[in-house]
Amino acid sequence: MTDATAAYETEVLPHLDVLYRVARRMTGNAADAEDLVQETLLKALRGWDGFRPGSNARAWLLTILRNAFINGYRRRKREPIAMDIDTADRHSILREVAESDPEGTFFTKLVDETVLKAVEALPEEFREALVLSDLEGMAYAEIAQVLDVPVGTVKSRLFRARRLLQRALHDHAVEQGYLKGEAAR
Amino acid sequence: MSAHDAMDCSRMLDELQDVLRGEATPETADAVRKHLDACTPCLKYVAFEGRFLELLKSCGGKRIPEDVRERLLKCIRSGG
Repeated sequence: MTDATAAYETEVLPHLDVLYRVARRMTGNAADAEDLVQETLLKALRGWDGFRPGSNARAWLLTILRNAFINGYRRRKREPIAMDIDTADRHSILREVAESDPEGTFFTKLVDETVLKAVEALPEEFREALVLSDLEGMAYAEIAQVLDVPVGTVKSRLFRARRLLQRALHDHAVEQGYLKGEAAR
Repeated sequence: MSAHDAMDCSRMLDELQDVLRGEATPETADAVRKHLDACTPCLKYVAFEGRFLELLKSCGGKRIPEDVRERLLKCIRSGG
């Protein structure tokens, strides 16, 4: 193993788990996620000269992963977003959803699989912000770097992602009978 | 002056996500706290949002499957 390869492995391998988790949520299945991470790792290896030692390897890798996803793995025919949250009262969905269970106890009844399926059904730009923030616990600035948008854009996408997801989970809980009430949509 | 004069409910909800993740300024965090002291509906929303975020957090953190890790390592060590 050369010094460069050893340095690459030292920087990159600690982030394999996060790369795989993000890839899994973005592609929606295990096989594509593995391919996407593999492509990311090979691109990072080829581009290793461009990595600045001491800079944020996780953000660098996630940027490569995201670009690879956009260029190759993104599902071409994604359903258009049927709603425009911008024009509605931005908090109305929360109020509507929280109405029947104001303290959100129904959230504790949902299993991971349900939640992750609902996450994967979010529109892509909302999903990536939510995955990096709320599943991976990354700070605004790092997410902004990965998504290549201003922090304000991260915040607004995150806000919308959460509302959409809350509504989807609320409706699921109503359908499953965990929650009395009517589906919000 | 009531809490609602300094920050209304809509503004509180806007700021809440920054406060919950510890990325709000101390002044904003303080204004949110004061608002919550005096606003029961918003306090419920905080619980709602908190449970939601806990749920999402609990879905993260899973390790990559061992067989996938091994295949990936083999691939990068052979240079693709």
